[in-house]
Amino acid sequence: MRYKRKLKKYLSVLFVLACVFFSLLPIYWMLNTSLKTTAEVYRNDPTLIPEKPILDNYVNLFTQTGFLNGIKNSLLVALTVAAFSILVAFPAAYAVSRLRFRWKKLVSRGILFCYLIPASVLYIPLFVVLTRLQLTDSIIGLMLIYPTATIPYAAWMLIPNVRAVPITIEEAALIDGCGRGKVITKIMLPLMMPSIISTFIFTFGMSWGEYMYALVNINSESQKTFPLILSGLIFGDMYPWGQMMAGGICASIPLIITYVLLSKFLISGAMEGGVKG
Amino acid sequence: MKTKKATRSKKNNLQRSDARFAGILCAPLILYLTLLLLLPIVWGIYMSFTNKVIGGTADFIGLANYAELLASKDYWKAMSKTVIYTAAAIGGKVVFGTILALALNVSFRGNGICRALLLIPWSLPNVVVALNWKWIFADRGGIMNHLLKSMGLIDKNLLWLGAPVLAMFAIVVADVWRGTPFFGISILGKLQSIPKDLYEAAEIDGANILQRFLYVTLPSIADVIGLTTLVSTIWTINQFETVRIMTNGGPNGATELMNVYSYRTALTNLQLGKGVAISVLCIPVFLILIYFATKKSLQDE
Repeated sequence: MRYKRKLKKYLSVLFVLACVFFSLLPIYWMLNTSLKTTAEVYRNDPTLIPEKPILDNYVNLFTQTGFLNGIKNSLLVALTVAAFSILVAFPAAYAVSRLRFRWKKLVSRGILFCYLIPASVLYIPLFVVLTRLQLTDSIIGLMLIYPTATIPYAAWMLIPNVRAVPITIEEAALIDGCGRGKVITKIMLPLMMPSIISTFIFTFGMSWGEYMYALVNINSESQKTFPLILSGLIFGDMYPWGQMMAGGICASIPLIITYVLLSKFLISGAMEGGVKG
Repeated sequence: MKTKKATRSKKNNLQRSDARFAGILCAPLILYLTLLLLLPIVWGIYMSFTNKVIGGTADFIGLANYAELLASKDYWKAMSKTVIYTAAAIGGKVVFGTILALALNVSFRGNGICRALLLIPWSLPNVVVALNWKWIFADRGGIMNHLLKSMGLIDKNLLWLGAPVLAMFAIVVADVWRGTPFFGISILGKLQSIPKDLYEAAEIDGANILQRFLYVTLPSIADVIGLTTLVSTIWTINQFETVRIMTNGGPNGATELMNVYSYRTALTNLQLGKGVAISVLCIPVFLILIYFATKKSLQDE
């Protein structure tokens, strides 16, 4: 029996380590490639460690392509969308989980329904909407349409988190004559900060790397977000893999660090809502 | 008695003000989603009955788009590719995710760090994942060919993204790689809530490992696997960026999934109406999936 248990443990550890290895290998390969010269990248037997690591790919990416501007655009879009989504979703999440009203079930079901609506059904109508508003080819247009995905998502994530706050705290405040508005801003908001932050991070991540809507709506170089700049490097015969991988590393590092540092805290938040992926 | 009445009327007042306050709190969300999500969908459905092209006017043409699609080989090819892709990718994610969750549920030193590291693929932007795997599977300089050659499994470079079956395999691998951690961690959450005495009881009754898995573990995690699968199926059917970047639907349509086909029709061939019709035809499938997902996630309410 004990022997069996030990065996199970060793097998489990082995499997987990193998998974960790396969999870990190492609990312290592991305980093590895980003530090090589083009000649080394295209060599017949790839070197597992760059012979002489260079930063040329990073320098070229930032100086010769629109990558920096793309990062700036993505950052602007993602921050605006995340902030706006939480601003709209949090009050609704509070109402659905705490207040009694007739359309409550309908609203919460509607939120889940909207969250599950895939982009494929929406991307053409939204393109036409933006054309009518003359907002295609502008990041403002993206800021306007990304919340179709992020607002329902943020609301759906926040609902169970509002419910998790003990109701007695609010009741005490209400009995003491504190208004509902004050209860939300003075009591709920501070208590909910951790889940609001993790929702903010996930919502940010959703628009940060968004590709389809951006591809459909944006044409000018100045308005492109970084996914368009990076995928735009795929042309010609010899793709600049070094630069593309450098771009991948730059665009991912902030997210990777955030996720790893906050993993415990994010996991419990994510599991409440479920994340697109 | 008096006080009781007073409390009750106060409660009623509170309820009435509750409703008005709830309306105020929900208004921005309802307004936004109605204007930019529900109405556009309705408009999209209407557009699918027109011959709208980019930059042109739209005439109502009834079911012509649908008739054309249902009679076209490309449409059915895209559908069958989507089914194959979704089945393979979801299958991979469920199987690896479940094993991963079971393995992570065993406590060992470094378990926490492993969990954090395993989340990394899932945190990456999809575009980056697609580029990363495009490079791994590249025929010139790609590491996959090199690894297989050095293990002696192949002796010539394979055209991974240029051969139908291999290209499909490659895009499935990229998706399974990114999606497995999420399945694993979701299932793990549920595994950890299974009471230990259930296993002890089963062990005393003489159940072996397989029986314990089948009769204790599986029933407890079936729900979470079901829900995660439903939700993930919706996203997987709608896969776009991985395919668009890795193969752009090629070679010769072998990886042209529904969404890539719709994009090509609407934005390359400029037939917006027909492009929407492709997505609209899928709405019944989404509605069924959404119905079951909603039912499952609202179960505990």
